[in-house]
Amino acid sequence: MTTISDPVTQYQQVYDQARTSLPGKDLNWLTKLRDQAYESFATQGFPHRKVENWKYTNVNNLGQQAFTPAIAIGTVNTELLATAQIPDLDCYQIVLVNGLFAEQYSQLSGLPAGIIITSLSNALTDHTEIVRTHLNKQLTYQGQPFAALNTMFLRDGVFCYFDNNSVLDKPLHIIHLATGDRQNVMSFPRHLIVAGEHSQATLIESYHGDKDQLYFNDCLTEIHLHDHSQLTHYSLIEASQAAYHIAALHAWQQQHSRLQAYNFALSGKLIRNDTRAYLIGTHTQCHFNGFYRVRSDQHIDNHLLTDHQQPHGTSTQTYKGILDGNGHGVFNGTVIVAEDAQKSKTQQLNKNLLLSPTAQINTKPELQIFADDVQCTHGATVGQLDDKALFYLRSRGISEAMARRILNYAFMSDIIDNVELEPIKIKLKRDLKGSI
Amino acid sequence: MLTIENLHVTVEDKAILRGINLQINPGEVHAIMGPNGSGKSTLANILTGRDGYNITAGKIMFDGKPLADMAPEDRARAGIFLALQYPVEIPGVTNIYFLKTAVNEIRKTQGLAELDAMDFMTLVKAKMQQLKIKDEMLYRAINEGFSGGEKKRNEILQMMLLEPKLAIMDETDSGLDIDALQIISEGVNALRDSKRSFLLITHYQRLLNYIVPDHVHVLAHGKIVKSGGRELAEYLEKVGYEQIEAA
Repeated sequence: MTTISDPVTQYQQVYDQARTSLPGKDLNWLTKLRDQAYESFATQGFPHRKVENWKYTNVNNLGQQAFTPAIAIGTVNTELLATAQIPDLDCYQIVLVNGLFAEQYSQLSGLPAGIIITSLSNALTDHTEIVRTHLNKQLTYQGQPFAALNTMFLRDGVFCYFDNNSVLDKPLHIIHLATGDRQNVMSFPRHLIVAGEHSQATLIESYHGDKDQLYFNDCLTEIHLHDHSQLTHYSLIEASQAAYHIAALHAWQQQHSRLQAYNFALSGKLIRNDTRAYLIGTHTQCHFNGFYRVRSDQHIDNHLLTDHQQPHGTSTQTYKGILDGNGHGVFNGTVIVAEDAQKSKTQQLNKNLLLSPTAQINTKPELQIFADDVQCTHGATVGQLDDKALFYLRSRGISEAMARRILNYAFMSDIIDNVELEPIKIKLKRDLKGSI
Repeated sequence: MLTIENLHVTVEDKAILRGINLQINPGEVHAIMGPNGSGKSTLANILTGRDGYNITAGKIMFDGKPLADMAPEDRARAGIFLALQYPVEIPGVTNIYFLKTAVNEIRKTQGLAELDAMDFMTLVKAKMQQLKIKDEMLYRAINEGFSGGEKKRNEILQMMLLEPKLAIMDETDSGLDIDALQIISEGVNALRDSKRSFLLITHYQRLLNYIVPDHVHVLAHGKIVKSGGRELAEYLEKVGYEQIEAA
């Protein structure tokens, strides 16, 4: 393994080599975006623990390793693809291999009128104007160097455009496979979702990697929800045991729009999710639900931000985690209610179950309330399995191991029960019952 | 079936049981009565293997085997059942899942085939009818939001499903109205046969009007101070525990 001393220089060098071969290199506005991102990344540097946003998550190891960006799909691991597909889910499918569109494995026929789903690289040529007016429109890089990095190396991803009043009749499953012939690949999938007025859609992003493969995903999903649109978004992270998975979901919500976002972080060496919604219209609804299963030698960090900028918004952040071995979890839930955002309602809940004395969780609610007529609640708990419940089950003949599994599952069952899409619910139940 | 010899038990270094001797034979119903703090619940808990109870002297034999080293689940599989005084609420686990899992775990150790969903449903519904338990209770989380009476019925339902050799009932009558007590007692009486034994732990003799014991023991200060037949319970009700404790 190659190790390097200065990650910023390393990424700059890779960028300098890559920039002339990146898609859309003839689009001035895009080149400008990339260069701005490059500047921001260079100025901010690679995150370290003195930066508040990265206090509990150490990315030194990530920075010390050399990765090369994926430029071609290479071999597709069809076995991995088969396990990534969700049984009994009737859906449209896009497969990305190391962040690149794999057309032959994608299934998009029969899309309803008014809906465009294609790769971002295609959209740069076929739908340039929509991409130009939305891509990176309100994104800030401050405190988010990986968002800057994603924009620098932006090569491919998924582009969805839902015209006014359109309804996506089946969910879209975006399958990300980290696979191929090489080790130390980094990929930068970028998804741009534009939901027109009164449109409705469900998207599933899932991430998979070969068991021990080392790779680095830096993902960014940008969502623009126009008036009265509704989007349900799932993120299922089943990365390899050696993988670094850094992902951001940023949504901008216009009035009366509704976002329901689920995040299930199930495996990976280091996972960091930045999930953000900016409620820029009135009467918006935004619900973040998540579950993290942290095992030994794993680190999972969820940073959430719900930014109420306008009145009458409703939001929730409900995250639960089970941590084992020497696993380390971080939950940082920020809720901002601006002075103008009167009549906002917001609820935050983070519950953690520690299964071992060496497991660790840092949970931090951050409520910044500037309006006076609001309803805000928050709660955080860290606990262990209930001895009384454990004894009760065992006293009925259930083995200790099974009793523990039952209680662990019970701890997060409400998050699973809340999942709207039945095949996902069944998959999660099956996976989690077997593994916790 | 159950032999307890000179049993001494401490809880957090405090002596609670101080030399219990008790012999329960197949088919017998024993009642242990005593005032609060006499050690009744400790006796129930030590039989089921709950943490926090330490045997400092004496022994407990069940079907010729020492109980002390057996895990709670192994005791349950060997045929010991405790109906808890305070059944535990477990949010997130449905009652039906719990009952089916328990029944099948016990069947497995008995070398019997596991029941499938259909067979289990037929079995559980018949028992529920006997106990006048509504179907919806199956699909609620274990004991969550159950009334006191519903929780106790749920305990007896588990007992009927698991068909133990020795059923211990810890203050099952507390908090029950007469109708519920009658329904539960009928359920228990239906389980009585020449092989199955019962140990009823109670403060009041009211329960013993419905489930008639063969033997009654009075527990005071961690010892059995008096044993007799059913008439002992009636005598106690008249004179109170103070007389016996003083004696």
